[in-house]
Amino acid sequence: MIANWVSRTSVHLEIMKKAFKVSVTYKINTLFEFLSIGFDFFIQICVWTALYNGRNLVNGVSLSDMISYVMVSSFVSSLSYSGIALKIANQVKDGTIGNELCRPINYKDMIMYHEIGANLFHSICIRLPVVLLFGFLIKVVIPASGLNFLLFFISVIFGITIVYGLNFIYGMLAFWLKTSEYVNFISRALMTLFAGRFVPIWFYPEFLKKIGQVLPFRFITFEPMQIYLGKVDSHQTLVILLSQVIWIAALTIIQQIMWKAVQKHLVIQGG
Amino acid sequence: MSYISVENISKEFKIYHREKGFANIVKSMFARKYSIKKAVENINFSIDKGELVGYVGPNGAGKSTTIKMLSGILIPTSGKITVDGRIPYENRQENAMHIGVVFGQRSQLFWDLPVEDTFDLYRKMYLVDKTKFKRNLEFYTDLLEMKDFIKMPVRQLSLGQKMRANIAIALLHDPEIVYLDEPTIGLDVLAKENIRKFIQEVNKEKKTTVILTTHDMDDIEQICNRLIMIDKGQIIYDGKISDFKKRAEGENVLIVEYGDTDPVDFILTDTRIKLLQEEGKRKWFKYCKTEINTAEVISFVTKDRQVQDILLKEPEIEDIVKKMYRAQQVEVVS
Repeated sequence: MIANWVSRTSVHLEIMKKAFKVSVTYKINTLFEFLSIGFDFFIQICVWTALYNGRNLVNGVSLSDMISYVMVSSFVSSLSYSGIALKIANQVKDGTIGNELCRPINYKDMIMYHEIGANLFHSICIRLPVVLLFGFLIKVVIPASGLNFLLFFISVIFGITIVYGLNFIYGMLAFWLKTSEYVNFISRALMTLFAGRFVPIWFYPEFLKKIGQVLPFRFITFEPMQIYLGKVDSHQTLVILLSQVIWIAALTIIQQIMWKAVQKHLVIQGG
Repeated sequence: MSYISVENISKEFKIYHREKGFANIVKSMFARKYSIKKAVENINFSIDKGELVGYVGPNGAGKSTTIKMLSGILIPTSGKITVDGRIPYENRQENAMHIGVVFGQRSQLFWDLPVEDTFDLYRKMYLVDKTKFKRNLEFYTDLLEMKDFIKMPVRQLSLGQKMRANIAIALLHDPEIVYLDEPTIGLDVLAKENIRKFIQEVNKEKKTTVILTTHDMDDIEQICNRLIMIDKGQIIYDGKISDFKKRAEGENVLIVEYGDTDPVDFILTDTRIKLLQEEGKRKWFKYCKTEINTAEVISFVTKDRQVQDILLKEPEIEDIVKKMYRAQQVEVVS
């Protein structure tokens, strides 16, 4: 049992290592990524400063909170980025999923750890230095407390689990739809709107907030950020973490059911 | 009980009729129109340990479908498959530990990394211990001549190099069975030769059971000891290669190119010789070695005539295959 877990974990680590190595291969990309993140931060800071127009607080949020939100949430977003839905859908569409299934390893693990490996490179080696640089120059708010940081860290991990659960579900829909065109729509549109990546949910109109309440997307970046910035009390923090756990459980059950169904009438296309 | 047994296997696919437009895609989630296609129908065969079987058939005959069911990634609609006591589609991951699969048209390698990185990952994935890994890697590197490119990024490799690497990876964990789906597709003569020798060597050294599909009859002729032929989802031949060739024995063809000045239209009085085809000054004659010998045929068709060239064509496995495919089609039409 334990030996089994150890060998599985070592395969996962190896997959992450390889993905990390792939990302390192293209050095020019890295340079451009640095620059584009820098520009992006600069633009967002200008926009928010202009929107605040000298006011201290808007909806109870200060400008410095907002700028911290921009930086730190961009880091969380890049850690919890997931494109596996499109990858799975395309593999289903062109039949390469057959290749993956010939291996003695869980399909989702294979594809998920590969992406996490790449994400670690992009967030820690590229984005984090930019965040730190800007943070040093314009004073980003550090976490409200050590405990907040720990809880923030846990909720980010939960958030990542939710993202991969959702993406796996979107991806598997391709078995029924036989196309992958829908993926961008559901994953991008819903994420942008309800995860609060671009505009934090603080500034949303009531009805959007209400819809967002019943969806899992806000638990990916927005709620962990609230914990980071100390915008929620200990009771609310507990509710956030618990809700995340409930969402993870629900998504896991849905994935299991779908995967069973997929295996029952799996069709590998082509050749 | 045999090592691999396939009993009454059928696989049906639903072919969905797709319509354009987002509304239709959404609609198609709930109700879809489809027709049923039988990829394979009621096939039976059994394979013993250590056999080297060629599995052939025209495009769309059901070869890959069979391989996918054998490797556990497709579930048959009906029938039963056992591979070394396991039911592959019921325990896919467990089964995967014991088999090696190469899909000639799809690479398993990391595109941006050197081949050896993929080897590393597969070593961990298949729980291959270090000594076995080293031994196998040396053995394969040597046999497949991979030394020159094992440290190069995959994207810089030629098709043949990638194929060799893919085959080595599939065999890294000493699987008891390998399924090779078109392992020589798109390769030049030398590369094909190299891969054929390698497959034979592995089969001999490690007693690996090999099932390979191909369109290249030379693959089969040179390395397999058994042939299974499938067409339209049904097995049309299963047996030794030598027996298969006997089917066409005696069917020889003589090609004669006549000189300019000769009147080339003449009547074949000997019924043992048949005129197969003519093209300008060339004529193709078919005869059976059991009825008439080649010398007799030559003397008959060249008598009193000026001849520029004579060509003798022995029956080839490819011709037999073509004939069998054609016979199938006629059967279906009638």
